[in-house]
Amino acid sequence: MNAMGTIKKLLAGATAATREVGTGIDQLRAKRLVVLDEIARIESLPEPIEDVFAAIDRDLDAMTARATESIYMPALLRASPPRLENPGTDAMIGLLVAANRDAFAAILRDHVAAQYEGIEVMEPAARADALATLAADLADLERAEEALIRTAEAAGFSPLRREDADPDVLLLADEELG
Amino acid sequence: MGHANPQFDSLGRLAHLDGIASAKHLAAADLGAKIRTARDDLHRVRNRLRDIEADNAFAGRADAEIARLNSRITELQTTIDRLEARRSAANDEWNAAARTHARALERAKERGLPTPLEINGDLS
Repeated sequence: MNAMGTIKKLLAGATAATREVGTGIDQLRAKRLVVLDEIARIESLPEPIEDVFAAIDRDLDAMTARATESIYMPALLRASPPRLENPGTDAMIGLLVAANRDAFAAILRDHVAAQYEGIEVMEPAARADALATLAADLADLERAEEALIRTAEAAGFSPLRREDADPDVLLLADEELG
Repeated sequence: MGHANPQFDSLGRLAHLDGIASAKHLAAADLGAKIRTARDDLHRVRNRLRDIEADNAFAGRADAEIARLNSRITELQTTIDRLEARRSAANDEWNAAARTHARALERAKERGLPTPLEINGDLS
């Protein structure tokens, strides 16, 4: 083979290698985006409806308790003549809720139940497990991307790192990247 | 100075990332120098063209030279446009590399890892 033939073959090989490195990095970045999307999706999933109902009960009780506590009792018990100090708008609403707590709770439950038809829900423990798994996947992808970039750099290529690359991974020793 | 942690190679990695940012900076600066040279050439060619067109002594005898200079102006303008596009991309790459290095340096400091000596002219 003449010199030009050899050079052309080398150039073709280098071009293919560059393309392969670029493709490999693009694939890892695409997978990372999929994982990030999944994290966002799982984080936005509502909890089981029973938990939401329990939260409604808990927070209505808290509202009524705060309202009752905000009444200035000395004005009623230690003043002559006794008087009811204006408790303020929030406290008045709390007292109204207390007067008809179950009806308020039923309205809120019905409103929530209407939103729950046909949607995916997730238990807090399952959410924590899923997010932990995805976080591990994300960490693996970050390491794989950095390892690929370092390998490419050692071979003379210079792919750009993502600006939002995990700085901890950027600082890892080569041996830690596996 | 920070404490070494065998899991990390902060000194080596930061030097590498800084080297990438510096190389990108040099590439952008080199393109900037080429653009300045091309603009100087363009300025000189335009002046020459203006002089010829204003000088009656050349009337009717400088058509070929005027055409050559106009062609040269087009060529230089095209070159400048291409260089500016490349410089813009090079600047983007430099900024990205510099930010990557800055984030890694910041994290190394947060972790108390060794970081390269910062050369900033401060004698204290």
